[in-house]
Amino acid sequence: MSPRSTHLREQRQRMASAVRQAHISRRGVLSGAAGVAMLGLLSACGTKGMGGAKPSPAADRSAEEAAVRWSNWTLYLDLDDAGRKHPTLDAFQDTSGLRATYTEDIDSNDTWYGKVQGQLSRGQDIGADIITPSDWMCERLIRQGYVQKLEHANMPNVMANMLPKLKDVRWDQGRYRSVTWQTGFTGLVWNKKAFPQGLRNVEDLWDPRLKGRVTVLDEMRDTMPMMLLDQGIDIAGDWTQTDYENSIDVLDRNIRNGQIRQVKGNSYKEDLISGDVVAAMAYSGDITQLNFENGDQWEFVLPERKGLIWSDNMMVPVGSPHKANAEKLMDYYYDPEIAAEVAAYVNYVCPVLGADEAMKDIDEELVNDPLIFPTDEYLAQSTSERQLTLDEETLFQNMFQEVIGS
Amino acid sequence: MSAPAKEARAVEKVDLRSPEEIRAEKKKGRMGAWLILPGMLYMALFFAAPVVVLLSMSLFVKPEGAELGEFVPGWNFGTYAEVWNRYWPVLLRSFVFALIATVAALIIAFPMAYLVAVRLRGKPLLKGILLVLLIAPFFSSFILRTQAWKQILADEGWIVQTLKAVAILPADGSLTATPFAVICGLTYNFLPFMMLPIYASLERLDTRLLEASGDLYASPAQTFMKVTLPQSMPGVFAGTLLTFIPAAGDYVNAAILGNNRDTSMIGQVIDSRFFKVIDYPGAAALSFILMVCILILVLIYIRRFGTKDLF
Amino acid sequence: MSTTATHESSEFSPVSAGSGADLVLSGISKHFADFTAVQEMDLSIPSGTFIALLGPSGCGKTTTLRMIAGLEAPTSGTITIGGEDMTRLPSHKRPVNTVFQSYALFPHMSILDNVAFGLKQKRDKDAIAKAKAGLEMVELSHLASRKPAQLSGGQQQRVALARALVNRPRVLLLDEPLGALDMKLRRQMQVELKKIQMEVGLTFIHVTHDQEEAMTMADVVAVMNQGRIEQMGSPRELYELPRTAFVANFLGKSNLMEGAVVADAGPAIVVDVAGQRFELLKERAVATEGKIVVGVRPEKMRIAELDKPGFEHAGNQLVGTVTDASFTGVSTEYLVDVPGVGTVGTFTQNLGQDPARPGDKVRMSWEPEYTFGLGADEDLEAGVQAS
Repeated sequence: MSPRSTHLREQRQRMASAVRQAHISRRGVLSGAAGVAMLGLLSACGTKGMGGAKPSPAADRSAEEAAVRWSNWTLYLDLDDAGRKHPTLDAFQDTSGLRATYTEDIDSNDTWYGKVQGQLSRGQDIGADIITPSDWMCERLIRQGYVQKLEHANMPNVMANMLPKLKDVRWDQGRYRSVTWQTGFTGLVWNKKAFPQGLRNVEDLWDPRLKGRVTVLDEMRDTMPMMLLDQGIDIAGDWTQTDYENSIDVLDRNIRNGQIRQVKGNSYKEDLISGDVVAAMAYSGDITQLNFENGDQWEFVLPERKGLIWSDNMMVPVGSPHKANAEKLMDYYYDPEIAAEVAAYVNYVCPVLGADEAMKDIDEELVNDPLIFPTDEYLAQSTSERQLTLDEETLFQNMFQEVIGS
Repeated sequence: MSAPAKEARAVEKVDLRSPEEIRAEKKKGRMGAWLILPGMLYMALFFAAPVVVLLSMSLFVKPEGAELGEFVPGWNFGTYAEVWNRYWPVLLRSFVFALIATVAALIIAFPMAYLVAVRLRGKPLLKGILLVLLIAPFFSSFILRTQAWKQILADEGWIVQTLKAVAILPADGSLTATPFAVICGLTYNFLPFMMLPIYASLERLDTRLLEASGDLYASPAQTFMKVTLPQSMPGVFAGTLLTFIPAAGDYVNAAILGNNRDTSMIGQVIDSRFFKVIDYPGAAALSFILMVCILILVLIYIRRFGTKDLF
Repeated sequence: MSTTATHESSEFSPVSAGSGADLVLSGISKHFADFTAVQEMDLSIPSGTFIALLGPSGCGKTTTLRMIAGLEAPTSGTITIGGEDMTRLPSHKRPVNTVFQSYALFPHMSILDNVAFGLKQKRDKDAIAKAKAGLEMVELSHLASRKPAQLSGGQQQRVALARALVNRPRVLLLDEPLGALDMKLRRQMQVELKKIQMEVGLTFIHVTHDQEEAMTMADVVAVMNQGRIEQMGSPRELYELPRTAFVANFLGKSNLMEGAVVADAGPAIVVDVAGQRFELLKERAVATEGKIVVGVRPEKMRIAELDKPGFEHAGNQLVGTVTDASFTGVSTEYLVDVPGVGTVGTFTQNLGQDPARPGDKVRMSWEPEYTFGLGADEDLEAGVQAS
């Protein structure tokens, strides 16, 4: 082992023990009058939410207020050609008589969480009745008690049409608190002209010919499982901190030697377009869209050592007073014909049974697109990671941020 | 009359105002107090209180078995030592980048401000057009402008291609994802903050002083150093502060134009501590350290170059 | 057409043309986009002269000064100082300093630094000592460490003067330096400036629109009008023998009358003005034949009630009716309507007499040698408004 990596390892050990030490017992904490006063100020300012008792759900006023508010990611719902209206959502308003407010205000799980965590922890209304975070964030929100339990009886379409594979996720067995919105894959992409040999595994990103033309994602929950998979580790199984450290060493090395140009969020797409980046870790739907808009230049694959499958899920936050309305909307999107319309636009995996049949009427070609209606073999190429413990969540995030220089 | 004599006269002056006048004066004084009240309240609410919150948050403690983001009030000064030891190089880099960007912005902004404010006097149309052209790009979003720089400096862009053609840049070289790109972005994005104060002070520059300087044997270069520059110092001073302070805390440029090796700035770290690692005390402590460092640097700067005794 | 104003030799001239001529402007013109400021000017100023460029605003006097200083480039012509061509030299290379109308003191420097500025630029080792001496000369040593803004207008003016003088320029240019001062301070500074000029013996070129200031201070006055020098000479020469209606009216007051030459009487000519015959010395006339303009200064005239017994009148006479008499203490000013001539002004010193009241018929007279003659094509009102 090189002296550098020894040093890195020591640093990491210190970091891990620091994380453990930070857990001082509650009783040991000095909480003088000043502290209490400060606390009042803090909660008044909404800067910080406290842990402790889980918040209780708000009373449902759906019967009195015919409204539902939905927070989603950008470009994640069908849009008309003028780019102003969402046809399926308008249709929902007409048939249900509910006024739907649609906001594209989630652009990162972390940033969104940082913004609303304080309110959620106090059980306050965050201004949304449906939120759409990713799996791991959903897991965290359920653990923290920040979402409401759903009434299956109100969602017959969901019960009938959700893909069986999705019904029993580890963190929400039986789907009592979440409903899948869209599913996607994290895999590899390359520019077919600039790098005709293509990629088979994450390892191939370290090809010297690609030096400085590679990006990986700044989402730890994407990049690190991909790195672990590349080490031959079953990420759904019982991997250890050492496995994680080995993978992060590889990442660290390739950042330091300039192989990886940048660690990026969603803006990796612009780098692919500008040509600065030739090969990258990427989300499946993005690449379908890129190819559609910029000519068929890129190819997306799941690595031979497997890629990631993930979902963004609709949930009702604890402070929402419109749970029944929210359930109505979720159920609406599990109508196969509606789901097909959305899938034709967003190009992600459709979680609704029968949508492929409905798609035939919209665009025959898309029925055979594995990125929208994946075959079993394609699905077998993907997996997802086991649950992280609280300590792991903090420690691993810490290490990852350290390596990517922030 | 000499100054002391004048003062003596002022002291001797008898208050000849009627009681009504005195009451009116006092009322005016109270009016003044009422007028500054909203400002004071605003500052208390939106500056003083957040700083207190920040300070107290930085001392919070994570209890045993705490949920993510759960911290309780405490006096954990260790957070400061921890983040300082871990991030002082990033802090230092932030200040170095901000300093280079400030100097570069000064070098770029001064001639532009001079052209518009001094050379184009008496040509209001041309002056107006140029001013608008210089300022208009900054009506667009900060993020978009920075993204545009990515395109400008891209590997396939004409700048990189040209530099490669004349062998200034090696064949496998690039400009994006380098410290150079980050500093370029910082310089560009904060240019108006440098230019406008300098423009404002040059606008007031009495060109007759330049003639007088030339008349007294000073060459144009000497006139610039001895008259123009000192006369524009208040603007240069304000401009450098207005550029340096936000540039030191900026993270957008480093995030978009930087790489993840040698361009990280303290703003990125605070962002990741807060949002990704969910280490609120660490983020607060870093913010506070940043604030104190900037305060110290600015105080030194004011001490050394303050405009107080310029006029 | 050129305005050659190397003053016509005359008994009043204190300096003779061409003797050690130091500053020479030849054929200098300055055209701006929309007007001509200076037209084909020739001017020769001997070293050590205190010359005033006098004229109404817009006459080109300041432009002339700025061309000498190098702050404005002439459109054509050359400028030499002591025989060296300065025309293309930038201002900082000319041995010339200016006292600006606005003073243009550097606000960020102390008074002493202001005064030492030029000396330091010339890398004078004794810059500070000389600057201190300069401040002493204008009696402001005690304010050396102040900033300009802390000084009164008069004090700033003296600093500006010291700042220019300490450099011992070959030519010192003063651009309406007293314009911003109040009357009392102005008089005081006029005396001081003149005194300093005599002490240092430098060439001073003083631009002003104040004829009294020009006459009290300058050895030579050049009256400028519309980009040309109308006439140049000593103050007395210009006053006693104006050569144009503009000079006659701008410099003091004149009674100008149109007439025609009717006889030649050897050294003099006889001019008929509205039936009255005046004698005029040929050497005091611009033209001696045909139609001409005859002029006389008001204070040269005597006035008395028509045919007052025992009052001795001089040779040239006019008869008219008093329309206005204003008593000012030391003198009484009269406006007299003369048939065929118009209004004629005159005044008498207060010697206790009371020559006439409005409505009275009066006779006015003056010695023929005070009469001056101008060209026939002169505008009688030229320079009246401007002065």
